[in-house]
Formats: sequence, C-alpha cells, structure tokens
Amino acid sequence: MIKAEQVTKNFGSFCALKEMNCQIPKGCIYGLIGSNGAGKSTFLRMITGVYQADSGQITLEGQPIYENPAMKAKIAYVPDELFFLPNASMKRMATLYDSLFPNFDMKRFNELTATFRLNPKVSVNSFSKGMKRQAAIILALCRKPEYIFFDETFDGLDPVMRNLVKNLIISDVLENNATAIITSHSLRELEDTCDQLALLHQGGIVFESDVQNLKTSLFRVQVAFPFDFDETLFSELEMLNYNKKGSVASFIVRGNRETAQEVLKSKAPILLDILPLSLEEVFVHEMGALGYAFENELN
Amino acid sequence: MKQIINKGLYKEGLKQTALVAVIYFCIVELIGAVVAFSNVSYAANQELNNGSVEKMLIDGIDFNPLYMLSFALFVPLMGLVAFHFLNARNKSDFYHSLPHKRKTIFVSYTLSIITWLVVILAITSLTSFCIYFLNARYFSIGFQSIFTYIFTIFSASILVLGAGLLAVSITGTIFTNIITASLVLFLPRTIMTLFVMTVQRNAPVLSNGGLGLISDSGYNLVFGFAASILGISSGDIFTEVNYGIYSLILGVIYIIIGGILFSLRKSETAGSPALSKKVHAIIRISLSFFVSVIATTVLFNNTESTVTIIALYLISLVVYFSYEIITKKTFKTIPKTVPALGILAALNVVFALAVVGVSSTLLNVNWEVDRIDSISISYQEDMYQSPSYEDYLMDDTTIKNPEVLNLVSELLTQNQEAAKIEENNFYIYNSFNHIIVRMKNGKTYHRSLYLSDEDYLRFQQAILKSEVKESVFSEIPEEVGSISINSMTQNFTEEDTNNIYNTFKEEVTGLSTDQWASYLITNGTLSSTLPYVKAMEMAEDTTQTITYSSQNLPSISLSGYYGVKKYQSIYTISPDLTPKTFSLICELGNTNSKEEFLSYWNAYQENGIQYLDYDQVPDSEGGLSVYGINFSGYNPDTNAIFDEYYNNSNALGSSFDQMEPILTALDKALQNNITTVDYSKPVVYVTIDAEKYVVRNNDIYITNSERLCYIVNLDPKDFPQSKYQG
Repeated sequence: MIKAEQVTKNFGSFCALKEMNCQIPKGCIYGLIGSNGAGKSTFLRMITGVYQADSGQITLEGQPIYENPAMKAKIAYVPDELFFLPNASMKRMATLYDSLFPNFDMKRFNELTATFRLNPKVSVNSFSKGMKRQAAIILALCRKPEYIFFDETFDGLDPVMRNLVKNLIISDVLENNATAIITSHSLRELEDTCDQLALLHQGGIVFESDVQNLKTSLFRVQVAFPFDFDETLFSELEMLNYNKKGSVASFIVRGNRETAQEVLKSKAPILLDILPLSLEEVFVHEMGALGYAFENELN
Repeated sequence: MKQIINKGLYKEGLKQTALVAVIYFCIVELIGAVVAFSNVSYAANQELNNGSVEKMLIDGIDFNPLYMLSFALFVPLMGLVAFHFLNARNKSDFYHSLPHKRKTIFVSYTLSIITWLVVILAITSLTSFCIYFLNARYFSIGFQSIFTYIFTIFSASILVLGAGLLAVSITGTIFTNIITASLVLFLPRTIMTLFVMTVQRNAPVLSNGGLGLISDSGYNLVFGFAASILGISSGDIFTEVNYGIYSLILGVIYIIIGGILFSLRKSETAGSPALSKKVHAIIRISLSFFVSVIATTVLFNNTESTVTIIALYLISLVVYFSYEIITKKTFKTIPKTVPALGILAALNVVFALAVVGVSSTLLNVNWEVDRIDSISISYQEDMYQSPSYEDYLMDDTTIKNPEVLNLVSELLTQNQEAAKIEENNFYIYNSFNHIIVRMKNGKTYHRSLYLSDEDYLRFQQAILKSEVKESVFSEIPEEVGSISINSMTQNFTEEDTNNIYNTFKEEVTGLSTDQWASYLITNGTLSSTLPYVKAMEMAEDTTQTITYSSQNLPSISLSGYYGVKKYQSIYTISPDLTPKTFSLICELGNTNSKEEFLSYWNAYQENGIQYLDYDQVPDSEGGLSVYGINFSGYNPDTNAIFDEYYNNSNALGSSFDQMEPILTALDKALQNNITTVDYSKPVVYVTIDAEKYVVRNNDIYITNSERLCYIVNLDPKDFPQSKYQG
C-alpha cells in the first residue's frame, strides 16, 4: 500500500501539496487527475523518492521512500519531462538499468523494442517525442516493477500506442500484482484504464472514488407526464440538477438504477429514458455537490 | 543496496567524461612526446656538431609542461560534465530516482574522474620515460623531481575537483557553479595573501613565510600557480612535496564536504542559484568581499590613493548587486539584499583590525639575546634561478654562535624600533630576507634583517666564524645530475667534462675553509643567502679575491637535486685557487678546437676580415668567410682588461694595430702547437666569427655560422692599452 499522511511540500512561497492524505491499495490502477499546478507531478516525485516532504509522511509498504534504495528498486517512474543520458541509445540506458535495478529483464527489453519497432542502437535524441515516450515506457516496464508511476505519459502517443501501453500496464498489474498511478489532466484517458480516480486540486485531494461506482451511481433521467408536475413528484429519489422544459423533465439521480426505474414507472410516465453519464459529467455533478466548479478545474 | 560505489554508475561516469578525457590525453601525450623528442634531437645535434654532449637535466616541468592543463582545464571540465545533471530539474530528478543512495552516485562519478586523471598521468609519463630511457646517454633524469611534479599536479587536480564538487552541491546553475568553485579555490588564499602583504607593509621586519602556512601561497597549488603567472609569487611550487600534501588534503576535505552536501541537497535546487537564500547570500557577500578586501588593503598601504580606494569599494558594490541580478534575473530582490551589506562592511573591519593586531604583535617582540636559542639563514626564492647547493646547506645550518646571536638580537631590536617609525625606509639597506629565529621558549620567528654596510660586514664576518664555516664551506655537491663547462673555448667531450670536474674537486678539497668561503662569497655562489656586497671591499682582509666576471674566466656549472629541490651552483675557475683546473680547461679547449680554428685562421690570413657581398659572388664553389674577430684579455700584473671587436667596418681602425702582437702570438702558438696557457702571464682570448658558404646558380648560401676561440699568452709589454681597469 502507498500511504500519504498529512503530506506538505513547499517550493519557496508556493505550496504544492498541503496536508494531503491518501491511501492507494496494492494492485490498484489509480488515476490522479488535476489541472496544471495542482500537485500531481510533485506527489509522484515524492512517492518516487525524488522529493522529501516538508512535513507529513509518505510510505510504501510501511517504509519511507526517500533515500531508501530497497524501495526505489521496486518503482518504475516515467516523468512528464523525460531525460535520457547524453547521446545514449536505448541499449545503453538498458545496460545502465540492468546494473542498477535487480529485476531488469533484458529479454523483455528486446521483445518490447521489437514490438514498438524502435531501434535500440541509435541515440534516443534522434527519436520523435512520441518515440521517446515509448522508449521511456519500455525501459520502465522492463524493470518488472511492483509500482508503476506514469506522469502524463499518454501525451504524445498515438491512439494505437496508447492502447498498447494501457494493455501492458494492465497486464503487469494483473500478472505481478503491481500498483500503478497514472496522472493526467484528461478524464477520457483514464476512464477505461483506472480502478480508482482522485481529483487533486490546490495541493489536496478533493474527491476520490471507485470508477465503476462513479459510473453506476449517477445516471440521467428524462421523463414526461400527461399532467403537470414538478420536482416534488420525485421526492423518493436523490435528485441532482432538475431541469424542466415543457412537459419533459431532465434530472440526474444518485442511487440504484433499477430501483429508480421502478419508482418512475409506477408514476405512469408517457416518456421515460434512463441514460448513463460520462465520467466527466459524473465528476462535474459530484464536484458541484461539493461546491466546486468542475469545468474550471479541468480546463 | 548498501553500496558506496556502483559499478554501473562508475562506468557511466567514465563514458560521460570520456570525450574530455580523450582530448586531454591526446594533447598531453602529444606534447610530452614532442618535448621528449625535441630534447633528444637537440642533444643528438649537439653530439654531431661538437663531438660530445653534456647531459641535459630533465626535471619537473621540463618533463611535460602541459600537465598544468590537468587542473587548469580538464579536471574542472570533467567535473562539470559529470555533474551537470545537478543544474536541470529533469536530469536531477532522474538521478535521484535511481535505487541508490545519493552518496553512491557522488562517489561513483567522482571516482570515474579520478580514474581518468590517474590513467592519463600514468600513460603519458610512461611514454616520456621510455623516450628518455632509450636515449639515456643524453639525459640525467631527476626522478625525485619528476615524481614530485606528477604528485603535485595530481594534488592540484584533486583540489580543483574538490572545489568544483563542493560548488555543484550547493548551487544549481553553471554560472553559480563556476563562481562558487572559484571562490572556494581562491578566496581564502587571497585573503591570506592580502593579509600577509598588508602586515608586511606595516611591519616590514616580517619575512616572506613569516606567518607560517598562511604566508606561503604555494600551499594552495592552484592559487600559487595563478599567482606565479601574475608575478605575485615566485618559486617552483610543483617541486615542493609539502605543497602537494597540503593541496591533496585540502582537496580531499572539499570532496568529503561536497559529498555530504550532495547527499543533503534537494533535487529541486536544480536550476536555482543556490541551495537556499542563506547560501545564496553567503556566496554574494563572499564575491564582493573578494573585491572590497583589496580596497581595504590599498587603504592600509597607501592612504593617498583615495580615488582608487573609493573606486574599488564601488566596484565591490557593483559586483554585489550584479550577482544578484544575474542569478535571480530580476531587479525586484535588490532591496532585500541591502541589509546584508552590513555583513560585508563588518568583514572588512574585521580584516583591518586583524592586520593592526598582528602588526602590533610583530613589532613588540623582546629580542633579548638570552631569549634566543639559535638562528638559520634561509634562501630567497627566485623565479629565474634555482638556489645554489651552498644556499641549501646554509638553510639547513643551525647557528648558535654567541657573537652571531648577539648581533641578531641587536639588529632585530633596531629594525623593530625603526619599523615603528612610519617614515623609515628600509629599502636603502642591505637585507637578509629570511632569518629564522628560534627562541628558548619554543617559539620561532621569521624575520627579514636590514643592515647598513658596516653592520652587514660585521654580521657576515661573525657568520663565517660560526657553525656555517664547517657546514657550508667544507664540501661541494656530491649528487650531481649535470655538469657543464662554460668557457670562451668550447668543444668539451663528456670525458673532458668529467676530467675537468674531478680536477676541480681535487683542487677545491685542498683549499682551506677560509679560502673557499671567501671565494664563494665574492663569486656570488651564495647570492640567495649570503650575497656579496660592497662592504667586503672595505675590509683589510687579504684573503679576499676580486670578482672574476670581467676576466672572461671559465666556469663550471653543477646542477642536481638537494633532496627534491633543484640546485644550480656556478663556480668560476679562479687561476689563483684552482690553477690546474684553469690550465686544463684552456688546454683541452685549445686542443679540441685547434684544427677547426686553424682553418678560420687561414681564411683570415688569406682574405682578412670580410663581409660576404651578395652582389659580388665569389668565383669559388664555397668557402669560409671571417666576418669578425674579438680580442679580450687580462693582465694579472696590472689588473688591466680589454675587450675589442672588429668587423668589416672597423678592421682598419687605429686600435687594430695594437692587436698585431696578439696576432703574432696566436700565429706562433698555432704553428708550434702550443695549447697550454700560463695564467700568471697576460692572457688573450681570440674569438673568430665565420660563416661557411656555398655558391649555387651564382647565389651565395650560408650553410653554417660559427664562433671559435683560442687562448694564448702575451708578453706584458705587448698588452694593449685599455681604458678599463679590472
């Protein structure tokens, strides 16, 4: 488990993380979403052992990570700003990692470079942005890590590669019981990969939930009756964002879908549609309930 | 994972610095080989032309002058390349995410740089040694000096590396890396040097080296090297083992501190001027103190230079604020830096107070003779000349003679009182630049001693009667690396040189200590410790001999090592003290050059003094053209000397007629194969300048230009009149 307790990190007068708390269970694919400057990268650097918290504690399996080579060896981290050794080829990077990481799998490295069609012998500097990102992902996954941290990793990848990488991550999680944290500022990227999602805002987690639960806990209802009605007709339901135009009402319901459907049918509507919400819409409404204007957070 | 060094990181460090290392290796190897082959070529040419060669002494810097680039350029470059990741966030984050302690990264990369340094020094030294060994007959290898040189170069490189590593550990940009490393390397020693200079100005009785380690800029080899380039200090610092040891220890301390700071450093410091605001302020204040302390020094040394002093203080303020603007890239932080100017001012005040305090202490020593245990006279460093063997013997001699100690007590007290009077000008007096005074209470003082001519004579006479007599004037060098004979006649083979040296040794051994002492002093052999001064001529002591330089007497030069220090002693061959040696040199010189000199003489007799006219090409295919003759000589009866040179333009001058008897005597000597010279009679050196030429396609080509000398005796009545008296 990755655990952060009251973690604070400042850079001069700027507070990047403020008394942040979270727990990420083992074997989870955890999505961390937030706008620029929210603290996503800072958080990842702290659980990678690059930064040290000014106060609070971050632990991995109950142990601190900073200056802890044993823990660091279990981590594969792909940052937003990539770095490769000067004029190094993938092969040279792999050779270095092989000497530094005890589980580095050179065979897997050769397989993945072939799969991604990257030449391991040429300088990485000659690669395009997308190819560099692919190279970084390959080098990270070949360490057979127990913890995979990707910071806005899907940027620069084409859709085909994006899917390929997602499948690799899922495969590693399933096979090795690895834990992955993926950050992004796009919910769409994380929607079909992550188990859990959290929203980071101004240095703290403001919302956290299971993805499946998010998708099923809220749904949109469109209903029409032959008689005049208002929202009091639906008082048995937990309703969000009620809207009526003419004789058609549209609203968001939180709760069990089947139960809600039965309740509505019992009122003999002439029109009844129950529609799923996109994750983005779910976030907007959930954040709205918490008092945040979600559109502003994600743009 | 509890490792100090990681093989993968170490190899990576080697790879990253490989380019710089290879360039460094190529340059140093090439120059080392070129220097060695040039020396071989020169020696071989000498052997070819002269039939013999005097062994060339190969020591320290001669071995490979470009080793200086190790610490001046290549090691700092390698340090910057290896640790450049500390200056960019993404690079720094990468390294700090690796599964190793920070100290492992630091140690592995540092060791990779040191590996290159050691390997390159070893391989390039081996190459040079091989070249010299293969041509060993031409060279005398000063192993001790060379190994000391290599050791000091290594030490200087470690010092620079340490300063660089300390700097990169606390700063986060290239600019601040370089500034901070420079401050670490140069600021402490600059302060010490300025402090000592100012104290010496206020208390001129203090000798160079008088304040121990802080007086001697050579202990920081890098600073000492820079100072020697600027002419601030002298001496061959790279032959001093002590300097090497000190610099190495200092460098290691810097590396250790750098390692500790590296481990504590936050990755986010990358790209920032410094670890924290406090560190940034310290660097800023230190940089401007570097300038302001110069102003404070000038204030002490010359209060009339008001404009210079104000200008320097203003410059230090400009440096102070400029550094802030350059590093922070904004003017907004300037107001916040103003309060720290108080610290800058305080540092200058502390410096000034320290100068006053130390100067006062130096000028209030009790020099009562009962408190003095012994003294030594130390040699004066000279950029252009090594001390003599005898200077080193003097330096090693402890003098307890009561008369000497009484004099020292008296003179030091006088000097001290005179120094307290500001107007007193010491520079008109004779001086012993470095006297070491050991007190009975265990303290040791280093002083310069200033004496009038009379006092100097008294002092010198007392020293000559002291322990110095036996320790300095009873031997000539045993360890001799190179011998050369300097004479108007040349062409001495190695056998001749050894023969002359052995004869000289035998004759000198037979001299009394007084004779030898008197000779050495007037000959100037002890110029660094017991220089000859005019005062000697005031004495009535008849054992004195006059100076020899005007008599064109030959000399023998001995070079070698006194421990690890190079000496060079030049002994003029006095016909009074060493007549056999003098006669041998004249005879061997005449014998060796007679045949060739005869060809010059015949050319002169045939054509006189001529100057080749390129418009009037001779009919012959080639020949020898004499373009000048020099006559110089000494008459021991009248103490007269003369020196006249004749070429095409003045060959027929009236004074040339006086040379006719010389030409007759020369002719007679050559015809009768007379090679010996009796110095009790007037001696003349006849030196002929000639050119060998060939004629091709109606053009004259000069193939060689030479000068040869023959020495003959002259009848006293034929000795030319001269306006010079020896």
